[in-house]
Amino acid sequence: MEKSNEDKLGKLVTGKVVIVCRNEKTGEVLTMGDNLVVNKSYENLAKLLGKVSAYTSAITKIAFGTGGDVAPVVTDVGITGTVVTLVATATYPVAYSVKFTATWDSVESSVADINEVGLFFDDNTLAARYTFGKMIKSVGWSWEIQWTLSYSV
Amino acid sequence: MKGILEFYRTNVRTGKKEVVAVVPNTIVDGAYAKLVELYGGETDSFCDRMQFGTGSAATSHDQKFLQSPITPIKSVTSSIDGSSCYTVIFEAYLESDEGNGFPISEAGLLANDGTLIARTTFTATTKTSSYNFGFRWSILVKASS
Repeated sequence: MEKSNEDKLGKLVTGKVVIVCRNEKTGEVLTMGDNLVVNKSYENLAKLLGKVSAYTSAITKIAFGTGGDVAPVVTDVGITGTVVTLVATATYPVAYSVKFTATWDSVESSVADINEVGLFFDDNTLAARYTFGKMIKSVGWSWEIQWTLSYSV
Repeated sequence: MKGILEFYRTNVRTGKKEVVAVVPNTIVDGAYAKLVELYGGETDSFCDRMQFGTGSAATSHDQKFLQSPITPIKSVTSSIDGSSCYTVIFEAYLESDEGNGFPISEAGLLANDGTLIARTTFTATTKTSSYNFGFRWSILVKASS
C-alpha cells in the first residue's frame, strides 16, 4: 500500500490568513484563505529547532505588496512592491498553532493595487505568502491581519 | 517532521567505532507545540538535550517522557546537515564513566524546557566503562523539493 504524504514527509505546517477591514463601527472580512508556507520557512525552522549557531530569528513581520498577480510557489523568497511592513505579535490561542496579528493603522495614507501579503522572520526571510484580488487601503480604515500557522495533531 | 537516530559505540582502549543501531523515531505531539513556539519567538523551545533509558515500550505520539530514564541527561551539539538544509543534527555522548551497568534501550530528544520532542527504542545494549556511547539524531523538518 502506498504511504500517505504525511507518512513519507512527516507533518508539515499549514497556514491561514484573514484580513479584516475596520472603521469605527464595522469590521468586514476583506479576504481569507490558505497561505503557502515556503521552503525558506523550513530552513529557518531547522536552525531554530537546534538553535544552530545561536540562531533565534522568529517571525515578527507581516508585509503587503503589489506582486500578487504571480501565484505563490514554495521557492518564493519575498514579495514584490512592498507598500508597508507591520510588526506581528504572536499568541497561542489554540494548541499546536501560533497566531500572528498585525494592524495597518487607519490614519495611514491610501494605497492602491495591494494584492499580496507575506509573513516574515525578523531577519527578513519569507515564511509564507498569500495572494488575493487587488484592494485599496483607504484612510479612515484599518486593516487587521490574523495569520495562523498550525500543525494537525 | 520525522527523524532517525544512529547509535554507535567507541572502544575507549582501541578507538574502534561500531554502529549499534540505526532506528527511526516517533515525533511526539509535544514537539509540534514547540515548533509553533519557535516560529513565535519563545526562547526555551529549541532542543538542547538527550535523555536515555532502559524502557522498551513501543513509541507513541502521545508520550511525554521516557519509560525508564537514567541519568545523566546530556547536552547536545547541533548543526545543519551538509546535504539537507531542512535537517538538523543533534549529537550527544555517554562517556566511559557515565550510565555504566544500564541496558540502554530507549532515547529521547528534549527541548530546553524538558518537553519530549522525539523518542525511539532499540535492542538493549549494556553500557560499560570500556565504551563511549554516541548518539546522532537527525530531524528532518521538511523533505527536500
